[in-house]
Amino acid sequence: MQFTVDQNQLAQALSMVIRLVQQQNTMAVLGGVQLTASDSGLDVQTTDLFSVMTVKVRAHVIEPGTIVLPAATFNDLIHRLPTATVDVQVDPHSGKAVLKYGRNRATIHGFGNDQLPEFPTFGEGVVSVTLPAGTLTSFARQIIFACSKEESRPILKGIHIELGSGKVVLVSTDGSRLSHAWAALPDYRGPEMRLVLPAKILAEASRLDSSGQPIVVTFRDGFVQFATQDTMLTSRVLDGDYPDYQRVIPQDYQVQIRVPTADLRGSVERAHLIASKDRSNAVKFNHQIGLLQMTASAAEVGQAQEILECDSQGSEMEIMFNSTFIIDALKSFSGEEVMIEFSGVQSPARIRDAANSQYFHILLPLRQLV
Amino acid sequence: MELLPIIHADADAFFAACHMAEDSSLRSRPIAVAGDPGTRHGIILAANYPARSYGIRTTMRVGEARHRCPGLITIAPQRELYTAYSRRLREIFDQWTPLVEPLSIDEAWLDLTPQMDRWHGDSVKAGQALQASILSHLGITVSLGISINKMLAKQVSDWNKPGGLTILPKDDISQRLWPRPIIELFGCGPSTARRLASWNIETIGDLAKTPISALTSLGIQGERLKTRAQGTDYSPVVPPRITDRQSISVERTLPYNLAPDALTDQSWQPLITELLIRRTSTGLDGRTLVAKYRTSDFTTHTRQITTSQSIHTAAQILTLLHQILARTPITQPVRLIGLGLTDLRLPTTEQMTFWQNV
Repeated sequence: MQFTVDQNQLAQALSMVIRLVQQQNTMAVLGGVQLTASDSGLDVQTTDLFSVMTVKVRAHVIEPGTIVLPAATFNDLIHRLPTATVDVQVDPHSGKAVLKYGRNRATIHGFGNDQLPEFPTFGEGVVSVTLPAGTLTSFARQIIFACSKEESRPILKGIHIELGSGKVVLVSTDGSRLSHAWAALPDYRGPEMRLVLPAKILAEASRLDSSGQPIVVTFRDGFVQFATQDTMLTSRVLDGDYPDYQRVIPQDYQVQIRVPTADLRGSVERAHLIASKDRSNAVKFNHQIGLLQMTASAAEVGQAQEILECDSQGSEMEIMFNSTFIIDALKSFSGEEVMIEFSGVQSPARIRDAANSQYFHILLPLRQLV
Repeated sequence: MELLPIIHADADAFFAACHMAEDSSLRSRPIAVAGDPGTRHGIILAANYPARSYGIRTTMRVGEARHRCPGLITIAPQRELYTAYSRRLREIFDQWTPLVEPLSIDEAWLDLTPQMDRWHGDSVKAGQALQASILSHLGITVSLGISINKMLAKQVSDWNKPGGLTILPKDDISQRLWPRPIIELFGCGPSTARRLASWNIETIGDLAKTPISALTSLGIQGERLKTRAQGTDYSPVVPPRITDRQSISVERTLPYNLAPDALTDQSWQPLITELLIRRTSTGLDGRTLVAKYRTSDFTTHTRQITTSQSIHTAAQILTLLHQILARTPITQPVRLIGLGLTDLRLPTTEQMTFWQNV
């Protein structure tokens, strides 16, 4: 096996795939990156058994073949090469790869004849949609943070994806807050589909946006694939039933508040400095027409009081939230103003970017116990 | 008349008494509460007075007890039963005064100061009524010590067991308390007693008369013991507040030593259940889980992990436990395992959730 490849392109490909490589593995070969040279170029692949990522790199292939090299070492070395191209030659008997760059060379021991486990390939009869570049990046920013981080509720570590006529809806929740985002798919007329994808896979898939190309998403029983021209990420989906999220989204709101995003964020972040000294991170929101007051206190630390003028309608209300929920939601907004809507002191509230109706967050309040 | 407002109440042979209260046919027969010898708990935990007349004592091995009293009836301990009686005992104490400080499952101090008018200043009458009420409601007897402060009351409550009532007025201290051996002083353990004996302090009176300067090597404990011996320790009777509780813990000696890989989730399950029940009953919020295990060489190991969430489900505990054990795996056979929640606080708020069981 022998090929010559552009150093920069190979380094970029390795940066994409290296994140699937786990530090500790039950199978040693999973710590490796698989290089496959063929007439169509060089395939760079890694897997963690749950998902697999392949990046195609243009290469001058002199002799086809496959080898698995230790991912971290190979990645570090390629990133540090001083030359524009590198020549890689593998001796099939010794399983060693010799890298030649300029007058210098390095030898890396591979995993012998071991190869990465095969992943099922996608055949015909599957459903696929094309997302404009940037769609997944927006989704990732808008909803990943609301996923559960707890091992005890594995299904909530995933993103619920609903493909329906003309649109795709993504939902995440940790049981106390919920994020909801959608994008139009005007050309999609295929079947309705529901599945739960690990949040980590959505984060990885959003990195495919860096190519600036549309991403083709293909669904098949138990698997999802994200592909651009050069890069392909295939993942299993999570097993289990996602909770019935529709009914926790309120239909009516008693209070509507419109306030500048940056002002609100500043106020809540200052209140959070005090609130975070207490376990509950509690910030009390007091609404009177035209005024939003936020207070926080922690025993032996102090109090904070913030008052914002706002554009509001509805009843006066006092309601308490975990300050990190509010801050996380505000960080996801890019618009100038934010809309907050309360449906009751012990009922879910909605918070959204006033300029973007394609996503919103539902937050449950804290209940006062004593 | 001198007021003696403090009562120390101590149930007589409490564990055994609970069983006798449940089954009166046991009253006249020698009974002992003892763990099952097959599970290494083969030790007498409590014996009733008929059994004690055979010389059976707490901590004696079951085998020896049987030898002394072939007709001995042994009963496996029933924690829930004792807890239930303890709670009912406490309910009766509460009717006498709001100032009740439990000392253990079957002992408590009562400060009758706010109630002295009701008893016309006579705490002995109050004590007798208390004993009668407990006997008629629960069918168990308590012995009382009545004095001017907590420590003196505790000091004398076991002088006339069972069912006794001992009064120690201030003027009697030198005559009745001081001749007693130092080991009887509340808070003085065997090793302290040995040290004191080496300084020729043999009785409580010896200690009371020893200048504090001679006790400096005992530190703060020396001062405390001397005050008690003098009868001048006026620590108040303080009802426990729920927030004073620092931790909840449960543990279990295994029927036989378990190799590390034989220690499964199933082994921990009963402890998890018990811990969660205890947590619920206190209403406290804990975020640090402590796992404890004692290996076959009798070394006790404790490991802990803290999370951002209140720990209140079995699944959470199991996940945290797995994390603890993955970090520091158990390498030797284990004879005891335990779980605890620490850093407990009374929560002021609760995060609402969309679904109960997701």
